[in-house]
Amino acid sequence: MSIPKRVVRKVGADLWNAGGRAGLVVVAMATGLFGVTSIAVTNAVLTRELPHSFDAIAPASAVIRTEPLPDSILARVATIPGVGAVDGGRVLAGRAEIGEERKPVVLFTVADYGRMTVNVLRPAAGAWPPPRGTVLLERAAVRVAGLQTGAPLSMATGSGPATSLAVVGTVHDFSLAPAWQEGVIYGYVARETMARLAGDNGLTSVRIIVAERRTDVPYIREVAQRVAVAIERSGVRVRDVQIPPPGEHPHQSQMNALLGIQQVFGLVALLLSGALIVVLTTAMLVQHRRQIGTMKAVGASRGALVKMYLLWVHVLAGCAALIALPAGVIAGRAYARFIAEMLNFDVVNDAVPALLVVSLIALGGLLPVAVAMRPIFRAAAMTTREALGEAMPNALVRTRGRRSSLLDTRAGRLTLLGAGNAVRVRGRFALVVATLALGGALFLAAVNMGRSFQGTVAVNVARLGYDIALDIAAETPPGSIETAVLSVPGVSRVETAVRARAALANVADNEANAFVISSAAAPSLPPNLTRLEGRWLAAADGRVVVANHIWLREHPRYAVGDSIDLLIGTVSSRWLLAGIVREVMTPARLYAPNEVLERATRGRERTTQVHIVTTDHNAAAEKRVIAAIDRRLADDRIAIAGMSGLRDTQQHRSDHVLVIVSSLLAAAAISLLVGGLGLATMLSVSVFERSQEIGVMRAVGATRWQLILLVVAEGGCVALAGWLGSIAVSLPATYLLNNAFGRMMLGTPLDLYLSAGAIPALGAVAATVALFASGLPAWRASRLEPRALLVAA
Amino acid sequence: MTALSHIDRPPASASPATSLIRASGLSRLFPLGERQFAALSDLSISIDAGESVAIVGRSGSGKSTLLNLITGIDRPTRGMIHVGDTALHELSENALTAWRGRSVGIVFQFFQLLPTLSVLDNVLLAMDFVGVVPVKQRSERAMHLLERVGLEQHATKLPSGLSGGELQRAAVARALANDPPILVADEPTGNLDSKTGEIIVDLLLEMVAGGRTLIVVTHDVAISAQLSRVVTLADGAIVSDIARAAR
Repeated sequence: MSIPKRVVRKVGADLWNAGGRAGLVVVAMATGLFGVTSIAVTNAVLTRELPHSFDAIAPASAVIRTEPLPDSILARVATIPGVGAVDGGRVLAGRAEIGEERKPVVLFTVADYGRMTVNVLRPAAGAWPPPRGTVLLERAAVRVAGLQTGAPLSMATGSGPATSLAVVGTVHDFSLAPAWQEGVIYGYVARETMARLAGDNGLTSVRIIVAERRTDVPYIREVAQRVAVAIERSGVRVRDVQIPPPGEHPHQSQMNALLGIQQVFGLVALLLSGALIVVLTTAMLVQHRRQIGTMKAVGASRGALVKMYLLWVHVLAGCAALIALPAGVIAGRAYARFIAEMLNFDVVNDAVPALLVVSLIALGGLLPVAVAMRPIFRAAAMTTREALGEAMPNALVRTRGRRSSLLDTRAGRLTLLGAGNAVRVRGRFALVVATLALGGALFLAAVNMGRSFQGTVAVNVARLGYDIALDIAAETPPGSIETAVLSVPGVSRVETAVRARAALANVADNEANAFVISSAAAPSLPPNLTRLEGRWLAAADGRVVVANHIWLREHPRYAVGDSIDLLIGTVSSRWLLAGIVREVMTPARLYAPNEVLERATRGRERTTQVHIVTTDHNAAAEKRVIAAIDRRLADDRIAIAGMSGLRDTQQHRSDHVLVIVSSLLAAAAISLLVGGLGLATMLSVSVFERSQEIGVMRAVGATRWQLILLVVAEGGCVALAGWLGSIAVSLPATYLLNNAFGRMMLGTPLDLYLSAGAIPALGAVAATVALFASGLPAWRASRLEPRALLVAA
Repeated sequence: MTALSHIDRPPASASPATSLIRASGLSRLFPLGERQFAALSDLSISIDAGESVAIVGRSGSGKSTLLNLITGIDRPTRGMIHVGDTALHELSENALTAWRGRSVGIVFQFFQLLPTLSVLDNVLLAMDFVGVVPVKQRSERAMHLLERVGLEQHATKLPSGLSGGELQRAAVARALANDPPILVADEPTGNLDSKTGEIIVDLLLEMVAGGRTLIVVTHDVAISAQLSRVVTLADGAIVSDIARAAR
């Protein structure tokens, strides 16, 4: 495309002269492109780095949990056909006494820190491997523990006395969910230290990587089963076999959903900026109408004009890209590092793929041209007479004919005139209102989503009806546990339930292996559960179970009324699936009648879960009671497997969501900014178009303040329509966001809670935006000289 | 001042084959609410090559509309208009633009120079758009035109730095950029004082001395008196068409 240098010079000079309005176009283009670039860069970096980091730790194809076994079995497992790599480890749960608080601790050791082959740990800081009598904290657990290197970790297991382990460094274990999310302190100790704490030197988990077909779940299951059989034949009981989704980090799907939501926000910002570009380009073309007419009169063809104004848009898009692309890349990388830190992995390489860079540059260059094409073609297609005529041609503005009815009303004639002016150019009015409405709707949806998350979690925690969850691992009679806990000051009520790990006896492909089966009281449905299908447990039920919705999602081949063969310990038994319930913030779980499950798990590995209700329902009282229960049970030599306050768990999750909500609000703020720019432009164009009319008003006696009121009323009318639109659009947007985010974070759609303050707050923002957006055009209108306007007309 | 010999000539009803511009039965209607306003009504006119024609009449008589039809800026609602061998009423908007660039130079009342380009670039841009002047000759030709209108010293200035008379002279130079056979001026002195207006008229007449056709819409009797023919319009029709010897 050859462009004469005069055209280039004219374009440059026109844009320079356009000043503020050209600046607005650049800001509009840059804003949308920045949003998309930052999110695309975040997505690209994380999508590459998460699997890369996960692969680097040689993740286990299967984990076989066992009774303590000697190291020699590992060598035997390595010779089993299909096993590519094998490693062993041991896990020990306990609790740490940190200040006044008791926090759950899980300690790990591996067969040989010098020769790790599966779920490889990476030393982060301090000593390596952990010397005897010391502990390395998982790096994400440092915040949970609140301990620095050199501080002692006072840890108790079972009913034994507390042991002090010096914290000597940190380690990165990417096979675990981030410690902050679980509220658990993860520590790594030497074999000798573990032996001292656990009472023997055996390993309790065998991790294998299959030699081939590493993503083939049935094959992995087949190999893992061979390993389990071999271990059983060695005289060691296998507790369960777990096959995680091959090559997929536990949080991969969560991250994908989060990035998906963000991508939607980014695309909306881009869409809005596209709409704004249309408004702004039209505005600039309106100003150029006479020049277009002159150029046509001296022989400029439609093609020549299209080329000229496309060059205009290209120059503006280029300026926008120069700002938005580097800023978006920087922001995207920073956000990727933030998410990575949240998920506890490192971004080793934050390079942006060349293809993405090229695509973003193309997007930055092509999108503005694509959306500006229509107004440019329409302007270039104006007849010379239209372009040179007095009346604004329809090609540029499509005006509304019904205005008199507004003006005929008695009250607030100027305000009504302003409101009427707002809707005179219907297309532009609709575009700006839509821009404001969409930006506002995103804002409301993000706020509502945060509120819904907090509400859902809070209500479900409240519905649980207890404050502290305590797990007792040993075969202690529930009665004596209840007596001991009830004797602690601050405890008002105690309930116990049996909990065991179970697996399907006939596992199908791609099904999770192990899950929890808990006892529950019949016949009343606990308040934290919502019946979705079938029925709840009845008093007369035998081997009947009710599944939560997470369990059903993981085992989709089952339906209410089906029989399920469960493997609890080594014994298989058949149960009837009687119903499905919705349960928030829990993993896959089956519920069975109290006595039936108690009988079915007697003599097998199980825990007693104790639900404790405190007299004072606040975090401080909870902490005091936890410490007192810990001391009381230690005195009674009752081994605690874990104890946590529900408020802590709730707080951990809410903090986490707050960050995500904040980032969504930032995206919404960008959209609102774009909307505000659109409004400012619309008003400025509107004033320009009506210069003659304003001149007449001045000539017949309108004061400057009256003209200011006229323009502000116009802006207020658009902002009001945008605000009302955003309220309407926010409801379905909140529903969709709640659905996606709830499924991602809690496995179920969030309950709908609307933020009471958000709508008036958005109204205040809209009013402020309207005031600022109309301020400058209003001031300009008030300064227009009637004489000059009328002469020009 | 030229000695005038008035020759009354009835409004043209036929289109002599030798005429450069031949319009017959021209009507131009504009919508006016529910009704239609006839700016021109069944108007016929012929203009020969080399004529200098003043179109006069009151406001709303249809002068500018006629000029717009002759220059292809507008299209007739009914009727035909030929310029040379070209039937303007049959051309598309694009074809009209291309034809106008080659065939007509227009001088507007309010100059209509592009404010962000220098005077020289304004002239050059008209050549760029039309492309009939070879690229290598454009600068030289543009400077030559500016010299002819006495603006060579102002070639690099922006229009905002020029007086009204200078702006109109620059507009004349631009109108001649592509060496069109027809020069059209719409109230060329309407925005100028009388002395400057005279200079512009002299300039226009000088520019058409070589055989170009000049059509000027004007209210100014002094201008019309200098042209070879005066066509008077009222209510969209020709009420008199007076030819005389030009000065």
